Amino acid sequence: MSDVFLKLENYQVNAAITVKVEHCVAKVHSWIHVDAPSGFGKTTLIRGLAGLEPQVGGLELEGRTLTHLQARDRQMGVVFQDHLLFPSMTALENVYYGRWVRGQLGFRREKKNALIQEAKHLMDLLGLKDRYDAPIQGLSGGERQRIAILRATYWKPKLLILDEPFKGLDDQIKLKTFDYLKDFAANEQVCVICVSHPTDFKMNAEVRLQGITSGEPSHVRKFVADRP
Amino acid sequence: MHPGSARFWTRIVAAGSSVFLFGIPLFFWLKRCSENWTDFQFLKLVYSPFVLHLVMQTMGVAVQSGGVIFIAGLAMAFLIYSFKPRLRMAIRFLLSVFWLLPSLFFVWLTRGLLKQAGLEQWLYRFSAVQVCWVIGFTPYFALGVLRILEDLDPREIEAAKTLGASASWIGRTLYWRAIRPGVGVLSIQIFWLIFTSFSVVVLLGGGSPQDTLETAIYQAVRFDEVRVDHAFALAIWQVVLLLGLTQIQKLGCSRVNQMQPIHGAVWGTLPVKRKGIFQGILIIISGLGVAMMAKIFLSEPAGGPLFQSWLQSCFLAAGVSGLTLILAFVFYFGLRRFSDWGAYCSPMILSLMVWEAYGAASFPILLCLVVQVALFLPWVSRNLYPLLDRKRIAEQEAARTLGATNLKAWLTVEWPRVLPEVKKIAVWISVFSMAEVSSVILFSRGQFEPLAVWSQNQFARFQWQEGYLGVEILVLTTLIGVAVSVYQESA
Amino acid sequence: MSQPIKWISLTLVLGLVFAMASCTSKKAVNQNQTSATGNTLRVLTYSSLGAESGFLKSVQGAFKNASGCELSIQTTLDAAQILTELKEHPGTADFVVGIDDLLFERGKSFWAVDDALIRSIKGVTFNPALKQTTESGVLHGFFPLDYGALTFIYRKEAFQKLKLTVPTTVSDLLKPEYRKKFIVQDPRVSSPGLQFFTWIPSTLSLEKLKGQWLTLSQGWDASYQLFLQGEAPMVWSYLSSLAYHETKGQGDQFDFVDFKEGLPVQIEGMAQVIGTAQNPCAQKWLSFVYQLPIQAQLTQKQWMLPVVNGVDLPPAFQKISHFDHLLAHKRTIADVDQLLTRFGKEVQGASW
Repeated sequence: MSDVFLKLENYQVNAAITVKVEHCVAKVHSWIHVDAPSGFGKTTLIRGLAGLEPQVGGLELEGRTLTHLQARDRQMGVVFQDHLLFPSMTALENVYYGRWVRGQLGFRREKKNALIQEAKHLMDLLGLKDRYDAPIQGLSGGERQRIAILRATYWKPKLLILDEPFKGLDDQIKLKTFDYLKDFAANEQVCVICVSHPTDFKMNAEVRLQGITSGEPSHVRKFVADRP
Repeated sequence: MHPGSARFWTRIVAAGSSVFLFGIPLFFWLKRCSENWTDFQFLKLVYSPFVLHLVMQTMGVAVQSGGVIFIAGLAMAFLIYSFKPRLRMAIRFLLSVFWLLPSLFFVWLTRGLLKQAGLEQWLYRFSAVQVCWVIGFTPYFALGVLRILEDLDPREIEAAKTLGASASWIGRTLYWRAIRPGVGVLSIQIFWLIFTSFSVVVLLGGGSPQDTLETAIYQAVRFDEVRVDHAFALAIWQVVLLLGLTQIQKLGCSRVNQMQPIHGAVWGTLPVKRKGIFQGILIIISGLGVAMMAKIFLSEPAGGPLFQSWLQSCFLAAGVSGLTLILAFVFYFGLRRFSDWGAYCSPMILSLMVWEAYGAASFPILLCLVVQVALFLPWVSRNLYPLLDRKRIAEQEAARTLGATNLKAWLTVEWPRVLPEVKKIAVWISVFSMAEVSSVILFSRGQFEPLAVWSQNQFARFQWQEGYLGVEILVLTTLIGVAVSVYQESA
Repeated sequence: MSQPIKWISLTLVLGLVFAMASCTSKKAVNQNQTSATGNTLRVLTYSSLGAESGFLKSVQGAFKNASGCELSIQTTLDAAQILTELKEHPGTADFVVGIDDLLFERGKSFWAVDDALIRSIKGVTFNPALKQTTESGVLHGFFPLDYGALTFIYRKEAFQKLKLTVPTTVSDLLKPEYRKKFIVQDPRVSSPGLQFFTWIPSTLSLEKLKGQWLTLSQGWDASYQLFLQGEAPMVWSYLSSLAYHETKGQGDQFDFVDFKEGLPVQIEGMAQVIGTAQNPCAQKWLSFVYQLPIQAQLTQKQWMLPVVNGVDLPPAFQKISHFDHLLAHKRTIADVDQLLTRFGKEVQGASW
C-alpha cells in the first residue's frame, strides 16, 4: 500500500515474555487499539515499540526501519501508565521537555516565549490553567495524566503510544482529553496506538491488535491485527 | 494543639531537651566569656590577624579538598550506580563499613599510600591532610549521592529517552536536578567534617603553621590556661562559615528542588544468595572478634584496665546511642525544625559549653553523654528523618479505620519499616561514640577513662603495645557490631 | 493520649528540671568537698601519674600502712590543667603532685608556704645537680618529686644510613643536613615542647627553624611514635627514653645528643594548696615520698629520675644518670610569654 504509515512485519519483542506481531499496517492519522486480557503482554509490546526492549523483525514508520534504533531516535511519544513525570521539574517544564531536548526552544527569547505560550495554551485546553509552575508532587492523579499526555504530544511525534491514557480522569476531563487526542491524530502526521479498557471510552479504531491464544509456548504472546 | 495531648507533651519534652542540651550550656558559655569582654575587647579577638589568617587558611584547604571530594564523590557514585544491583549493594555495604573505621586508620592509610607513591614530601603538610580527607570523606559523599540516584525511577530515564533526550541531556536535566539539593547538603556536611577534623590535622599536618580553626580551638583550651574567649572567637567563625554555606546552598536550590535529601552513610542491605552460609560467616567473624578481644582482655598487665575502659566506653556508647535515637524521635514529632541545633558546633566547643554548665554537678560519664548526644543528634536526624517522612499514610488511615489509635497505627505501619534502619543507626552511633576523642578528653579524670583516653595514657608512659591494643579493641568492636547488626537483619 | 507516653514524657521533663536545678548547686557541692577528714590527703595530679598503673596508685597502699593516712587521688587530663582545676573547683585538693617549676610559678596564688612543712624535709638530700632549683623552690613551697633532662634522642642506624653527624650545638639544627630530620613538640600545648623552645637561644631564628623540623606534634607520645616508626631519625624527648630502650634490649640502637649548651631539666614537684585546712597527712606524705625505696619506684612507673640523692637506680638508668651538661635554667612566665609572642610571629604567621 502506498499510504502505509506504520508497518509491523514479523515483529518480535524479546523481554521476560516474547511478544509477536505477524503483520500490521496502518495509515497516517489512524488509531490502533490494543486489546488483550490483563497481564497478556500489552505493556511489553508498548515498551518494544518505544525501543525500550530488545526486538527483531520489521518495524517501519514512514518507510523508515526503526527496529535497531534507540528510543530517542524513533520519534515516538509514549504516555506511560504510571505517568513517569519528572519530579524535579514543574508541570510546564515537563510539557515542553521533548522540544527542549531537541533544541527547539532555541536561544532567542521570542521563539522560546512563543513555544512556552503554546505549551501553556495546551495546558489551558486540558483544564490545567494556573498549574504551570506547580511541582509534580502537588498534582492530582488526573492532572498528572494530562501533563503526561501533553508531554508526549507537544513535540509532535510520528507515533503516539498511549498506555491507559484515560485512567484517573473524570468524565468531563476524559471527554476533553479524548477530543484533544482525536484532533491531534487528525491534524498531525501521526499514528496512534492506544491500550485502554475497551469499555472505557468508545473509540473508532481503524485497526485492532488483538491478543490471541495460539499454540505457542506459555512465554510467547501473539497479537493479530484485524479491522473491527 | 490540646494541652495534655501527645503532641503537647512531645513538644514540651523536645523543648526541654533543646534547652538542656544547647540552651543552658550556651548561656553559661556566654556568661563565662563575658567576664573578659570589656571595651569591645572580644570583637578585637574575633578580628585579630591570627584569627582572620586561620579563617582564610581553613577555608582555603576546605574548599580545595571539598572540590576534589565533590568531583571524586560524584564520579564514584555514578560508577557504582552503573554496576548491577547486587554488585552495587555489596560495594555500598563495604564503603559504609570502611567509613566507620577510626580516623587513625585513615592517617595510617594515607601515610602508607603517600610513601608508596613516592610522595613523602607531601607528609606533614596540608597536602597530606587533604589527601586523607579525600580518602576518608569521599565515600560518605558518594554514598549520599548514590542513595539519591537509587531513589530515581529508572523508568523516568526511559521516558526521557523516548522524548529524545541524549545521555548528556538526561544527565543534566534528570540526574543533576535530582541530586543537586542532596549534593548541597552533603557538601555542607563535608565542610563540617573538614572544619572539625582534628586528629588528621595534628598527625599529618606537621603542626604550626599548618593550623586550622579546630586545632587553634584545641590550643586555646589546653595547657595551663584555658583561654575561653580565644576559643569562642574561633568557634564563632566556624559557626558563621557553616551557617553561611548552608544559606548559600538553600538559595541555590529552586523551590521545586527542595526535596528532603539523603540518608546515605549507614550501610545498606548486603545481597545474599545463600543465607545460611552468609550467616555462618558472620558468626565466625563475630566469634573470632570476640575471641581476640577476650585474649587481649585476659593478657597481663593491661588486660584488666583495658577491659574496664572498654566497658566504660560501651556503657557510654549504649547510652549515647539510645538517648540520641529517643530524642531524634521526640524532635521529629515535637520540634522538628530545631533538631539541627548544635549541627554547626565543634565537639570541643560543645564539650566546653557542657562543662561550664554542668561540670561540677555531675559524673564525667554523664557529661560525655550530654555532649555526644548533642553532637550526634543532627546526624541521626538527617539520616532518619527522610525515612520517617516516607509515610504510608493510606495504610495508617486503614489501620485507624480498623480502630487503632494514632500511635498504634504508626507502630503497626511505620515502625517495622523503620526499625532495621534504627538498629543500624544505633550501631553507627555507638561506633562513633567509642572512637570520639574531642568530646571526652575534657571529662576523663579519676575512675572514668574511656578507651581513646586510656590508649593515650599508655602511649604517654612508653607503653606502646598496650596503647595499640586499645585501637585494636576499637576496630574489633566495630567489626563485631556491624556483623551482629547485619546478621540480625539477614535473619 | 496513651498512659505510657505521658509517664515517659513526665519523667524526662522532671529529669531535665532536676538537672537544671543541680546546676545551681555548684558552690554547694564544692563546699561539701572542702571539709576533708583528718586522716585523708586529697591529692590532685595528672592522669598518667594518677592512673591505675601510675606511681601514686602503686604507693597508695604502702602510704596507708606507713602513716595511717588515705591517699585520695583526683586527676586532670594533663599537668597543665591542674591550675584550671584549682581555679574552677577551689578547696577540693590538699596537695598537688606533678606540676613543674613553670606551672608552680604560674600558679603562685594557689600555694601555701608552710614553714613547718618546709622544715620537715630539711634532712632530705637532693641531687646536687638540681641544687639551685630545689633549694630555692622548697623555700617557696615547691617540693620536688622527680626530674628528667630533655634532649634529642636519635637512632644510630638511621644516622649512619643518612651519613649524619650528631649535632653538638643548638645552631647545628639549622644546617641543611638536618632539614626534616627531627621532630619537636608544640610549645603551646606540650610541656617538653615548651622546654625546647624556652631553652633554645632567643637569637636563633624560629622562622628558619620551622623549615627544619619534620613536624611539630601536639604531644610527646605522638612525636615519639613517629620517631619509632622511622619518620625521622631524631626526636625531642626525655633522656629517660634511653632507659626505656635499654629495658627492651635496644640500648645500643639509640643515643642522645649532648648539647654543648647543656640540657634543660624539667623538675616535677608537689605543693600544698592554699586555703585548705592544715592536714597532718601532708607532712607524713612528704616524709614517705622522699624515702629511697619510694623514690626508686619513679623510674619504673613514670620513667623519671628521683630527686633524692643515693637512690639505687635500675641498670637501664645508669647510663643516663651521670653526665655533665645538666642545665636547670630557671624559666619565668615572662620567658614563656616572650617565646609565645615570638612563636606567633615567626612560626604561626600571625599573632592574636
